[in-house]
This record gives sequence, structure tokens and C-alpha cells, in this order.
Amino acid sequence: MTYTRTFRNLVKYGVPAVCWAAGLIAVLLILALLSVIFLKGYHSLEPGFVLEESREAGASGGIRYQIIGTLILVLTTAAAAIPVSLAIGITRVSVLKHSSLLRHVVDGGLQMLNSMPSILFGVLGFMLFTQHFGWGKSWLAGGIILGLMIVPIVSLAFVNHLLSLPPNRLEAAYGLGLSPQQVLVSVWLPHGWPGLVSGLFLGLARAMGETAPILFVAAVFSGAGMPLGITDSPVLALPYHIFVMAQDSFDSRAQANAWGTALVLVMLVLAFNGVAYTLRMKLHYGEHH
Amino acid sequence: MENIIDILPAPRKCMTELRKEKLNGSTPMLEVNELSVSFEENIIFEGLSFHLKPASMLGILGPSGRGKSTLLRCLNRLIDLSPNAKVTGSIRFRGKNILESKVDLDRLRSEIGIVFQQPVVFPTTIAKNVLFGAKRLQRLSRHEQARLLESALRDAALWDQVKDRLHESANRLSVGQQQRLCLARTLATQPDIILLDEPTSALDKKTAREIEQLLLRLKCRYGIILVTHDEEQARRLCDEILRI
Amino acid sequence: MKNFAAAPLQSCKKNWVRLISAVAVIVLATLALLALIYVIGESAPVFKHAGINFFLGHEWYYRDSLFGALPMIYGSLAVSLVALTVAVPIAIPASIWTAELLPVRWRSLAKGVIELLAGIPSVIYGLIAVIYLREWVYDLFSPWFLTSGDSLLTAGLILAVMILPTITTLADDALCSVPEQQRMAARGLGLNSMETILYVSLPQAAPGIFSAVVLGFGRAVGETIAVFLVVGRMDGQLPNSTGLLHSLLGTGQTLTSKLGGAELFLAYGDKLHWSAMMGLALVLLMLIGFSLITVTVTRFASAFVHHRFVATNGRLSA
Repeated sequence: MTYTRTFRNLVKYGVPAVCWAAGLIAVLLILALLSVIFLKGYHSLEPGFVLEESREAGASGGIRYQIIGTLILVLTTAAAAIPVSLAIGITRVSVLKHSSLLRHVVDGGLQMLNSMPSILFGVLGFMLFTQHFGWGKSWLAGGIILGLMIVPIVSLAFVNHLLSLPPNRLEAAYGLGLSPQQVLVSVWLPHGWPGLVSGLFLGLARAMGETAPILFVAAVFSGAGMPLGITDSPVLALPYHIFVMAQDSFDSRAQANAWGTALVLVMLVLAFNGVAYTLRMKLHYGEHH
Repeated sequence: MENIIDILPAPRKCMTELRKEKLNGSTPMLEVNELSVSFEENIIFEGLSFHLKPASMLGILGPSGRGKSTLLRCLNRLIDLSPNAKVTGSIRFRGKNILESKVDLDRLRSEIGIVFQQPVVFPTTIAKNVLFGAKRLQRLSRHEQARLLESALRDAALWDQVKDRLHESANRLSVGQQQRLCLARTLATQPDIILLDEPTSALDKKTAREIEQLLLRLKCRYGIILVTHDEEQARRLCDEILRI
Repeated sequence: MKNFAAAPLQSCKKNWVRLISAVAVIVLATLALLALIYVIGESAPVFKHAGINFFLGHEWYYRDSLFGALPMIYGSLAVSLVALTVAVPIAIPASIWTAELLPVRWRSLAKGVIELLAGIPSVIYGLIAVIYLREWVYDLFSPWFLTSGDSLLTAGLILAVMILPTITTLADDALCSVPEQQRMAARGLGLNSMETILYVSLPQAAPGIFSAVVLGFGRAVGETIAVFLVVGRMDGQLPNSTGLLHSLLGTGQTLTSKLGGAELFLAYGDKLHWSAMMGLALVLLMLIGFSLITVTVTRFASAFVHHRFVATNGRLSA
């Protein structure tokens, strides 16, 4: 009897102790990481850092064109991802409504695309755009590659949102005899956009932090400003900047610059995630009230 | 470690002894006084008082939505698992008010067993299902486990049907068998009182009758509280009926 | 007046929005398939050249047309397994913490904070690993003839942090999908809340938790940048007589760090060399495919068992 009681007490108090410890480790880890990034980076955070060009191989000056380059990539990514995700979403919800096999194929394909290592996107982009098309390094290629990479995130958010709507809302519009153009403008977009946009921000938050896909395709470390064409028009980018500086980490000035860049990047990523989260919460709230 | 067989006399003897005890005006096993339950602003029921005598069956009768299931969950404090429930009044069991905060709830729940409306079997073998609670509440040798398994299944009138497939999945049993399996699982923890929440409502008539027969046999050994919405059933089985 | 029910079907015929969408999806699927065929086709020469030695050879000198990928395969598996060994013992209890122990309103907050960890770009994990983790590993293990902080172990440790949120949130989802009535039944028998977790929730969520771990493995195998920065990128490193642990403390090369290196630019001009790089990509794809297949099989197997469970549960007879 005492054995049983001892063992049961061990379970009763031991299991939660272990679980609390593990959960707190996970939470403390993220707090520690964020505070390291903040404490190391906030010295650099002044108007000059954001507005000036970088000098002396990144050891001094700011990250103006890195920020601009990342924003160019983000906009291109969005432009590439939106039509593709719309197409996939509309197909998945309307055309494949009656074929569960094809639906599984599309879902499985998106799932696979989502788990592809990002370096493979980079390698294939290098082969196709940089070499085969002869673009060299190009912002456009980078945007397209990143856009394709985030298509699963965006289209899954879009589809899940459409499927969570009452089904008659979409069908009723067809019954009204609207023309197809009107259907796109008056049904898919007004009902689907919150899901699409929240997924888009989630995807862009991921895309702007990615280094591997733009390694060979779009990013250089220095010597690029505003791109003026498509061929041989590379951009600077925040993650690539950090990537190069991290390999050159023995110069303390370069290190400080890298931390500053990291802080800017993390703030941008968190802001985009925040928009996606707020939108999703608002949606969730809207559905039930 | 006592075994269920050792502490329980044979049915006939049990019947006479306990009946006699009952006629002599034995004290109730469970006394409920002014029990009220509310969820936030919603009052489920108010001011219920009743008691349960040993070796008898109390029927709780009423239409659905009157909080019959909630009442059962109060009696072994499973209600504590639902957030926002507020319980007032007193429930005396073994001389203590079990609504007090320092009660050992896990022990209480093994002493007041419950069988739900829908059978909830664990996705494992029949034998493991029966011993699921029992072998963790106490240390049982392999031999004791086998004896307890057999006696619990016999008491639930399931032994003959499953004795050759004790190590097959419990999911393959029919609903009626699953319900009896749940009963056996509760019996194996050797409770004093068994709470039954419309145990026959998910079953067809013939199976329901079989379970009723089983309950009549069990009532000489346990205090049973049966929640039902079937007036006839309550009359057939119960010694006393409480309407809510 | 049109029949209301037939309207969707009718408009389907002339709806060019749907048509263009469907065509676009077919084009995309074809492109994805072409990419796969390209990788397989381009890697064919190196398999013709090196045969099975592409998988078993441990020497990679492109000037001598020697292409043995074993050290890279070993490196990828080693860093991923180190990551799992460290992350799983934290991730699974942490998922129990969020799914079972925390009150409901704290749960989404805690989960959100842990998911933040997944949102941080991998290059920033790389930076942190370069500045801090590398030094710590060096200080801790320098008695064992460590030459620098760059090692398979360092890469594995930073990967552990990166896959921790992936495993935790997926395992949390698996635990939350265990029906509440199962827990209720166990509590009704007198098991305490922890026994209920141990004997009811965990066994039933086990397939989902297993899938979470496998997906974490897939993420670790595919991660490039953070590993690239701290793995040392030394070719031809395999465990030898000095033992497995010693090799983990040494530098190494993974499939992704090789593919992410400058050698890719160099390789493009040379058909055989490029083919060898594509071979590495193919091996990487196979590892990811393996993890995806494992997850799918697990899902179907447990769905099959569950289906049988539901089917018999709904039948109303003795």
C-alpha cells in the first residue's frame, strides 16, 4: 500500500514539476533570445543607422539600402504570391469540391511545398533565373522564389478562411446571376480577403527573414542601390547582411552593426506577424459574434 | 490486499443480511442537503435534499435538461473539472462533508464510481480496460489481477462473452457490451456507491433489459443512484424515486 | 426564374475565374513536377560516374572528379539527431504543460510566446550561435582537443532551439485532440490528473506526437543558414576510431551547408560537378520525403484504428 501511495505521489507531483520546468525553459528561452537581440542591438538603433548607407564593409554607417532591398523583395514576394494563392484557393474550394482525391492531391502538394528546405528554392532559382534565363542576380527572381515559397502558407490560410464561412454565402451569389468578373470582385475577394491577407502577412514575415533562397539569386553584400532593371540588378537585404557579417564576427564594430541589423529585422518580422495575428483574432471574434 | 471476492459474501446471503440491516434502520450511506449548482449566472438546480440507504437503489427521474447528470457529477465531485461551476449545500459520505476543500478527491472518486450515458472505453484491450483504474489505485500481483478481472467481469455479466478474447481490442465490443465493460471497470475499483447516468439510453430494448437485470443483482451489494428519464424503468428497479 | 440549386453548376461552365484558377494550378503542379524531374535528371551523370560510391564514398574532390556524399549525409543526420535528442525531452513536457496543465486562457498566450521562437529568422539564430553558443561549446569541451567552437554539436544545439517550437505546438495539437470524455472517464475511476495524462492523454496522442517529432526532424535536416555558420564546413569528416562523440565535437559538413556554399557557383560550369550538387539536393529531398511519408503513414494508420473505434461505437446492438 505504501509503495502504491509513494508511486502515485511521485506521479502526482513529479509529472507537473517536469512539465512546468520544460514549459518555463521554452518560455525563458524565447525571452532570453529576444532580450539578447534587443540589448545588443538597441545601441545601433538611431535615425542615422536606418537612413545612412553602410560604409567600410558594414563596419560603420547604416543599413539604408538593406532595408530598402528587403522591402523591394517583400513587395515582389507579395505580388508573386497573391495571384498564385488566389488561384489555388479558388480551385481548392470551388472546382475540387466534388473530388476528394484531387483535393487530397492539392493539400498534399501544398504540404510538401511547405516542408521543402528553403535552400532547394535557392538552388532551383539559381539554375532557372540566374543561369538559364541569364538574369544574373536579380531582385525579381528573388521575389518570385520567395513568393513561391510562401504560397502554401498564404493559400492554406485563404482556404481555411473560405471553408469556415457558411457555404451558402458563396453559392447564393451565383444564384443571383452575377457575371464571372462580378463573382470574383463581389464574392471571393470580399469574403476571402481577411484570410488571404492574414496568411500573406504571416508568409511575408517568413520570407523577409529567409537567407537561403536569395543567397545565389538576388542578394549581394555591397555595391547595390536601387535596382534599375531586371537583369543583373541585385539588392542588398537585411538577412543576407547579417549572414555575411556573422562570418566576419571578429571585428567588434561589424558585430555591433550585425546586432543592430538583427534587431531591425526582428522588429519587422514581429510587426508582420502581429498584423497577421491581429487580423486572425479579429476574424475569429467576428465569426462568433 | 483484499479481493473483491473475499469481501463480498455470496449473493443470497448478502441479500438477507443486508435487508435485515436495512430494516433495522441503518444510517444512510450518502446524505444530500440543500444542494444547489449554478454555472455563472445560470442556476441548474436549487435546494435538493435526499439520502441513499445501503444496498438500495435511488432513482433520479426527470426530463432532460434538469441537471440530472450535473447532480451525479456533484456526488463524486467530477464537477470540479468543469470550470465556473458553483456548488453549495452539503453532501455527507462516511461522516464527512465531501464538498469541503480538503477531501482527497481521487480517493472519493474511486469510492463513488460513475458510469456515463455513452460508454467511454479506452482504446486498448478488454482486460486492460477493466483493470485500468484498479491496478493503479493499488498494487496487485499478477494473480490478484487475474482474479479481480474475472470477478469484475462476472459481476457485470460479461465474463462468458469475453473470456476467450480478453486481450483483444475493447473497441470491437458492441455498445451494450461496452457499457457493461465500463460497469466492470468501475466495479473493479471496489466502490461503495455506483452512479449510473442513463446507462441504457444508448441501447436497444433487449440489451437494456439485460442491463436492468444486472443492476437488480448488484443493488444488494452497492448503493446505486440511477439517473433516468424512463418512469417505467425507475419503478422496476428503484427502492426510492426522486423527481427533479 | 433559374433553379437555385442548379445555379452554381451553370455558372461553373462559363466561369472563367474558376477556369483560369484551375489552369494556373495545373501549370504550377506541372512546374513542380518538372523541377523534381530536373533534379533527378541532372543528378543522373554523377550516379553513372560514381555509382553506389556517391552514397558510400567519403572523399569529395571535384578536381579529381571524386564525389562521395557520405560525410554530408552523416553530418545532416548527426546534427538533426543531436537536435532531436536535446529538443524532444523539453518539447514533449512543454506541450503537456500548454495542453493539460495551464488554464485555458493562459494556454494560447503560452503557445503564442513559444511560436514566437519559430518566427525568428534562422540567420539570427545563426548570429547568436556564432557569437555565444560557439564560445560556450569551446569553453566546455576544450579539454577534449577541440580546435574551435565550430562543430556538429554546436550546429545540433542551435537546431534544437529552432525545432523546439515546431515539436511543441504540433504535440500540443495532438494532445488537445484527445476527447475530453476519455479524461473524464479516467478521473471518474479515481486516477489523479497526472495519471490521466500519463495513461490516457499521452498514449492516445502518441501517433500525433510521433509525427511532430518526425516533422521536427525534417525541419532540422532542411535548415541551412544557422547550420552553415557554425558547422565548420569541413569536407570528408566521418567518425573514426576515436569514437562518435569525438566526431560530434569536430567540424563537419551537412547536405545543406554544402549546397549553400560558394561551390555551387563553381559547379554550374562543369556538368559532372553540377550533377553531383544535384545529387546532394536529391538526397536531401529523399530525407524530407522520408519524413513526410512517415507522417502520412502514421496519420492513416491511426485514422484507420480510430475509424474502427468510431464505427463500432455507433452500432446499437448487444
